[in-house]
Amino acid sequence: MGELWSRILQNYPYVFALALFAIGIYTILTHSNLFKKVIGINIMEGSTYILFIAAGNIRGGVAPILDMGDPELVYVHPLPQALMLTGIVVSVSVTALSLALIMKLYRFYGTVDAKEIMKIRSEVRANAGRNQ
Amino acid sequence: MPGAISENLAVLIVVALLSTAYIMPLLTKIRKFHVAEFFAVFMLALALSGGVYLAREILHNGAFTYAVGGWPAPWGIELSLDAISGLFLITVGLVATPILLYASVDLVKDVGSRSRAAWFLTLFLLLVAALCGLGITGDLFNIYVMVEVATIASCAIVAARNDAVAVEATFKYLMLATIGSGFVLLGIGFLFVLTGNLNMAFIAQELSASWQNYPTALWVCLSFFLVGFGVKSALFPLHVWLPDAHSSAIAPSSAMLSSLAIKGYIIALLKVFYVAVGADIITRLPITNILTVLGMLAIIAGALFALAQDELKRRLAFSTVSQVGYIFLGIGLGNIQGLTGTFMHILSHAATKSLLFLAAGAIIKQTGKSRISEMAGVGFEMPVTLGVFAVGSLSMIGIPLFSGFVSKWQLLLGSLARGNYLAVIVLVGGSLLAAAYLLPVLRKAFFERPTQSAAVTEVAYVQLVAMLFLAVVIIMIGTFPGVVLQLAEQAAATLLGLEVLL
Repeated sequence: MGELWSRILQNYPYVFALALFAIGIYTILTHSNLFKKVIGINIMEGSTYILFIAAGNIRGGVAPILDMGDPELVYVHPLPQALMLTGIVVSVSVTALSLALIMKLYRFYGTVDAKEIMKIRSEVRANAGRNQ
Repeated sequence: MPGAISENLAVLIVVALLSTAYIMPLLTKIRKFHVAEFFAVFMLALALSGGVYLAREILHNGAFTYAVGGWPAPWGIELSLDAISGLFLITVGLVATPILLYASVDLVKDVGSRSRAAWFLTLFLLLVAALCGLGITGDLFNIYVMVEVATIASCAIVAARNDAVAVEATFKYLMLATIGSGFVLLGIGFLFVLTGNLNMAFIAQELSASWQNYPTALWVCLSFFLVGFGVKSALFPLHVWLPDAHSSAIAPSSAMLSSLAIKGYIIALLKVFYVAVGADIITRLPITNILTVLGMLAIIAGALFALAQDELKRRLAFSTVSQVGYIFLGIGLGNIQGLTGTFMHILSHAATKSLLFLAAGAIIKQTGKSRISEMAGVGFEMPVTLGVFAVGSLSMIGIPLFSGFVSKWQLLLGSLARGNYLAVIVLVGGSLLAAAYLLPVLRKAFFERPTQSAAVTEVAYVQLVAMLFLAVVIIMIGTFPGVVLQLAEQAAATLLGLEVLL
């Protein structure tokens, strides 16, 4: 048990990232308010940034710009940082797209609550069935 | 072909499609709308011929890699051109071209306005470019980017029709697809932590040397990929978004999403599992058994759900869930025949399902009826459309001489080679269920008198040509599978790391 705890403590950024990921997914799946779902997505994607940046980091490392004068320098891994820049762009686009969709949904249904939208839809369907 | 073009053809296909995508709105402003549409179809046809050229090159001279920008592998992004890429490029080009040709006839009316239609063309080409990119990439970074481009483009394509149901379906799709992306990114993160690389060839080297030190971590990482790509490619218990999204979009979007978009993620999954992690590690982990079981569940459950639908497009959407099961079953079998069957089914299902969705769109547009129970006698009014629908149905069921038979036969051989007799029963049962949910449409259309003789005519000639083209593709693959089957076998051999059998 003690060994397990020390390993978890050693890798705390990963554990933190996974916990945050779970919180994000929980938010998306359990909240019926569409805006809260978008917030959940941002939490979830934020957790992956932490995972990647922690994976590429070296304590005491500097930004990976080659300095020929100082051979002793330790550089952090640039690849995860590049990937995460892309990830941030993606998450901003997804957020923008989902906010645009929420706006449209609000115009169509007059609410931003997933449960109420479901209710309105099923009423519409029931009315359509009665008219046939 | 001039040297500079043929040498860089792999990256040029994607770049050409991306740049065509972005000039579409501009082109519709300065030229007639049909000029832009024609240009887009022309570029897709060009991409298809490029894919055919690459596939021929790969078949004759073997697989090769391409360093983007001239930067070699660990620093630059590497494209790996093998039989998998060749086959997928051909699939995408062969199916996307007729779909866009079909869409071009009354796109403006379908999506509402001219500017919306221009953006639809942009999204369509972006999706095709991303799928081509998924086919040729050899790098996890690139896979992530292409997956995201494909996801956002396909979500927006569902919302192209500006109505409440489609927008709601899009939102649901976007939420679940983003959860999927999150899992994929987490999986990539784990592979990066384990191996320190994002290039798949380097990951494979690293893992085969030392995976025994951390089997649990690898196992967790693979299950992240399975869930992530499973959500995006509508693997059975994770398929909930698909029926709404695919049935509420306009016909060309449904055809595109159901036939190609989900296949891109399956190709990505295959690359991660068999190229990055490697066949001998994958087949030693229980993950292949899980894939087999999920595939069998999907075949049966998808078909049963499809049987219960009366709306034609919803029935076809659930049929996709069932057919994706075949593809995953082949991946799970993990032997040469099973994987050949997977690749053949990716091609055959892409052609078949797009044909069925286009024909369904034509029927719904001309008659205004979307329910199967109302479609009595449609076959007398639209003989060509229902004729190609019959071709698609027979191929979906797996009748000999149609492309569905070739893929299902390979899957059957694969199950027998594994000694998995339950899979054999499920494969045959799935075909019977496909007959049960598709043939009633034909019976209704051809063997019942029309209720009232309203003047219903066929759709425009261009749309008929697009559908007939797909029908010919299906019959050609079914009757003369030769070269395509050889390509699929080589793709399967590449995944398993076997010597290529030529």
